[in-house]
Amino acid sequence: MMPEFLDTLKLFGGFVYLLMGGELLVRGALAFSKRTRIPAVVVGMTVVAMGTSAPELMISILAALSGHPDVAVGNVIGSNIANVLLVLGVPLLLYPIATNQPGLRWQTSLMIAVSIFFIVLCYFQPITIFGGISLVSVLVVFLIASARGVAILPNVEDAEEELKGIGLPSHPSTILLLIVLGCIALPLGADLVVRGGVGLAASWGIKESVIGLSLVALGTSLPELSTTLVAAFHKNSDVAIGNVIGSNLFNILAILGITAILTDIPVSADFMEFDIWVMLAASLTLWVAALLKGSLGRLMGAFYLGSYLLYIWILF
Amino acid sequence: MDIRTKLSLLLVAVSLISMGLLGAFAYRTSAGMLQEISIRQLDALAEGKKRDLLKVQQNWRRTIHLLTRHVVSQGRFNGIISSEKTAASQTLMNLISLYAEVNGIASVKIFDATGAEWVTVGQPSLAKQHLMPSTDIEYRGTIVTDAQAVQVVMAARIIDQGKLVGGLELTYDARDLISIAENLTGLGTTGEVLMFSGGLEGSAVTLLSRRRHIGAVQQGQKLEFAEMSADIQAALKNDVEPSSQVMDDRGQLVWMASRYIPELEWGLVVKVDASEEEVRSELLLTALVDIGLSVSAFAILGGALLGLYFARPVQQLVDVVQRFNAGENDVRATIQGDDEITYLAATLNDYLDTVSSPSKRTDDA
Repeated sequence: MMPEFLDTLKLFGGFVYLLMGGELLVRGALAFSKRTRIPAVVVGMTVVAMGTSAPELMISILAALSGHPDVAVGNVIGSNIANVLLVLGVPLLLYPIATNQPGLRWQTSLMIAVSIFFIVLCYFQPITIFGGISLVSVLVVFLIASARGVAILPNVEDAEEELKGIGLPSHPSTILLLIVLGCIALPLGADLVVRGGVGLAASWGIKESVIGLSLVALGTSLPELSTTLVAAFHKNSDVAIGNVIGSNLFNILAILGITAILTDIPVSADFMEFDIWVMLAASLTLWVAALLKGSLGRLMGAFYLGSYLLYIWILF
Repeated sequence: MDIRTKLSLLLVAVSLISMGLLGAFAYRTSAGMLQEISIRQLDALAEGKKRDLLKVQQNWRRTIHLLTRHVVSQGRFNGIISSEKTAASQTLMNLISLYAEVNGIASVKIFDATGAEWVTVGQPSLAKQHLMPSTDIEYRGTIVTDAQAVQVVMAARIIDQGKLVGGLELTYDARDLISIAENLTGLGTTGEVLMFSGGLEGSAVTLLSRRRHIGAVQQGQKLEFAEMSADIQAALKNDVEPSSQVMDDRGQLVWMASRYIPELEWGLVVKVDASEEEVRSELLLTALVDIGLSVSAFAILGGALLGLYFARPVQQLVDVVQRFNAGENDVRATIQGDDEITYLAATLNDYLDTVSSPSKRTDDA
């Protein structure tokens, strides 16, 4: 009972540190960008995009480096599943989302292509440095294309709005303090999450991959869920779909790519048998919705949420 | 920096400092208790093994006593010796052989009152002059054979009808003793029980038990007393207090308890590497740090919520001023509650009333 409690506490504390670390890092980096007058579009594609993905990145790197690759891969696959089925499903119950947004068909197609590339890499596992470099290269290409206006990469938030935000420090020492604290809190939180997750898996007698796919993935998807929920309450759910696609692309291209560059990632057969196909199927539903150019409503929300609950039930 | 971030950072700093102080106290106390418990366990193990060794030794004493009685009971000892290889003598030899086999005795030697050998069964290891024991039963020494077997030699007087007629020397196979020493239950992965014979200052010391550490002094190896670490030397002279700051012969810091067995002149050392024992303390430290960090997460959440609580009305005041500047002369701050921010809102509303009043505007014009 005691180790279980301690591991749950670690998991909870880890997520809070990750959220705080990501927030501090983004705010510090934004303040730095504002002070050094780096163009907003560059800030958006680097600082904001990478900063908001820092918790997932840190968890995957730390898990892979500490000999728990199932947690790293499970985090990415589970996050992508949770993003579509949960992060989109819940706000859909509140307010419908239009799927005729400009560039959405292209973005969902890109997500499907990247997901298939990821499946191919998993099939020829382990994902080595070459796989990692190719994933990051794809990301860099699309970031450059987006910066030049050739392509639209979702979830690269409007940095100009971020730069106007209240509370950005102006003093260099405060900026440095935020960045340093962010850099300390992120690996600290990731370490607590990984050890808590692995400990819980051992206590409950389940595989580490299950913890990665469920608890860790859910924890890292909570910020996106809260953002989309707030947007849904303001009857502005349309941004949710862009956030989900952007997060899914970053999860595979950046998080898995950078982790694979640092260390080889073996992919468990369990993922190939079931979870990876759930991820692809969930992504395909978005792609079909984008092709049909209609709108996703409460029925789809209930379907997404029900599917997610069923998936979690099957996992455990 | 915004209020939310400031409050979160402040609360987490206070929380971490509090947790750090509490954790340091808890760690020091618990680590000390863990060490005390471990050392007590080592001491209890040493005492238990000493008692086991004494039991085996008492068993040997009983055996030699019984054999002496058998020898005497076979008839008058002098008569048997003088009759040389008589039937009685042969019966006695058969009895001794059988007895030796049953009781794990390596050799039996019987000698007369002058020290002249009468009969020997088995392969005696001590080929010395047969001195008559000074007491009824006497411990003569411990030896390690070429085959690395440990043997213990004991001697007894043979007294027939109140008259000293000869002596008996038994060489015991010390397997029972060694198995006690080599039972490492409760000693983890680095713990050992060392049995040394000898131990008088200036003499050589022989290690009787096998070691689990490669490269360490091994069974049967002789060591000069002076070569032993000071703590082991102390253990070979007398019982010493169990300790957690002892260097063993490998130069490793160990936690150790020891016993001295004067009847056998054996030193018994029960020890575990400090590094293994300290793992428990390190686990405790890690758990305390994890708890401290995780619980501090509540402070982060608390700080964020407090920050939102304080920042929202301030943000509303900022909105009011911005809208007023944009030309909304009727906009006023909501006055709710009785805190400083409410007072500020009321003051702001008064100021806006003054600024937007027609007379003020006329004066300004």
